[in-house]
Amino acid sequence: MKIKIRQIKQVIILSIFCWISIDLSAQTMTEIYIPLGQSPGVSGKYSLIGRVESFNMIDSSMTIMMNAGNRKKMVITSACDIYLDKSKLRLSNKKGYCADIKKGLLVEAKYIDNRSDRPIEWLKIQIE
Amino acid sequence: MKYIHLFLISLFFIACVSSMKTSPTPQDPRIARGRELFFNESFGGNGRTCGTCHRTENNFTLDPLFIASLPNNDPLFVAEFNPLLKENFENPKLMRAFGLIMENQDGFDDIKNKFNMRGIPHTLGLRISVNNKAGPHTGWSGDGAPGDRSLRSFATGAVIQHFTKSLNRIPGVDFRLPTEEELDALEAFQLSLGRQEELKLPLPLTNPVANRGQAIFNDIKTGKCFVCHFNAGANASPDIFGTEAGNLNFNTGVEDLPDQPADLAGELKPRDDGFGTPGDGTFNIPSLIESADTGPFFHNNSVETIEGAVAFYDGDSFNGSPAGKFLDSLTGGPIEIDATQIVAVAAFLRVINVLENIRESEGLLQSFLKRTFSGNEIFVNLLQRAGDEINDAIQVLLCGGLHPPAIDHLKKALTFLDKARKKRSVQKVNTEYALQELVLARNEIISIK
Repeated sequence: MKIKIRQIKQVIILSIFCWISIDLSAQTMTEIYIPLGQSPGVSGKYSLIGRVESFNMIDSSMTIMMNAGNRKKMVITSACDIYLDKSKLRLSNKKGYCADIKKGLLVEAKYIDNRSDRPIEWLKIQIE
Repeated sequence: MKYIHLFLISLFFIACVSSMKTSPTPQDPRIARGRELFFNESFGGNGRTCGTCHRTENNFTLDPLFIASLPNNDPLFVAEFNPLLKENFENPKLMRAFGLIMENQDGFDDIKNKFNMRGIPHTLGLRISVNNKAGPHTGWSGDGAPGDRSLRSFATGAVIQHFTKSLNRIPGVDFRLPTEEELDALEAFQLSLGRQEELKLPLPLTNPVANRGQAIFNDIKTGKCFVCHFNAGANASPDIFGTEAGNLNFNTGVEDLPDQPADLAGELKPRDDGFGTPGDGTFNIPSLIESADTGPFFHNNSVETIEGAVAFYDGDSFNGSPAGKFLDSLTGGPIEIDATQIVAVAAFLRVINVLENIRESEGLLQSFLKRTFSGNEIFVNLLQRAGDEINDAIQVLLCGGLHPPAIDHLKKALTFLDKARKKRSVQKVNTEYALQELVLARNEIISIK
């Protein structure tokens, strides 16, 4: 009985450990300096690029219009990193806020885990 | 006269064909291209290349001794001579004394106070040390790469962090980002370095101390090392963590070590919070096979010797850490190993490092003889590279007081290589003699049945 309880305890601890090890999102510290459309392994594969059609501050939802004319609605949570891409102006990129999301601006959005049913992990807004 | 012309033309033709036959060819052109980029491309930045920190002749890493041998105008020291990078880019004192590099894993919004000082991990055996079922684990804490976080994307983050001309870090002004083709080539080069497969323990070691160290390493009751370093590599035990666990992160309490050398220097060195932002205190498992000749140890170069690194796991910092407590509950107690056992485990790690040195140098020499090198080294440097590996093996054994006869064979191998480098006419035969000495050295370490 003692052995069984011990085994169960071990499995629980192991599960917590594995969860800790794999479920946290890795940091993206240098992502802020990568211009819109140039994120390695992400841009052109797992991100969406389009112009902001609307942004609803109340439910933090944004709709973008992509090149092909498709619209895509997405949710911006407080965990989303917003980057202001000023590289076209030859200025340093900065952290942004929801208030920076304005109609007509070109943006690139990446979903958490590249799954479109998840919120946005990061959003780059091109400032020209 | 006519025949002389014909004879000369034939001679010329034969010479051409013969030279074509013997031209060395890299197996994958992307590897050679990646090597060129790794060591020579500064991406329009401050002059640093990937090879500034990952030096071939120093096992693709840096340590204070090697740093001391560099000239003051080496790009490594860019913070000492570029006024735009004088502050908050590197800490020259900690770099020179402890081989520590400044990193901003927690972002760039307060670089004066938010940074980590980390050692430079080598880039050997990456093919089998950065995979995790949840995604790639790069850098000391598994989160070193932007984009898709892969090894391929790592170079992009490195250029932004380490190559910039100013702290503005503006692409196109302070550096240029690697292209897709360059990222492919850099990845191919890095994957070609070092081991391409895992060791299979236990090995039939002849030295009783190293052999005992191996037994302790693989014993669930004493050393328990195999739980995280399965087959002394960078992957966790599949029997405990599942077959696809791969490289995992743990908080082993290294940051809690008292009297860390860099802290004693009196410089600002914030606590490193490891993986994520804010960090969870975890760091990923490094491979141990290459460890004995790539110290200092741990992410912050806090321990100088391999014996000290093994002893860490018997101390309060580890046994009181989340990883230590986990191991305690998993195995029925903390790691308790005494001085002789610590030295034995270290001896085992020294010996497997030397076996890897021998394997690597044999590969380089075979490539030289067969002229079929993999492209991750310039052909004319193959003998030098093999010599570097042999030198490392000698040092690793000497410092552990291990295998004097093997050291003798390794020294003889070096002598033959020296002769091969000096005189072209005896190059082949001396390279072959060197290879024979390497076989004899290995036979001293592993029993051949």
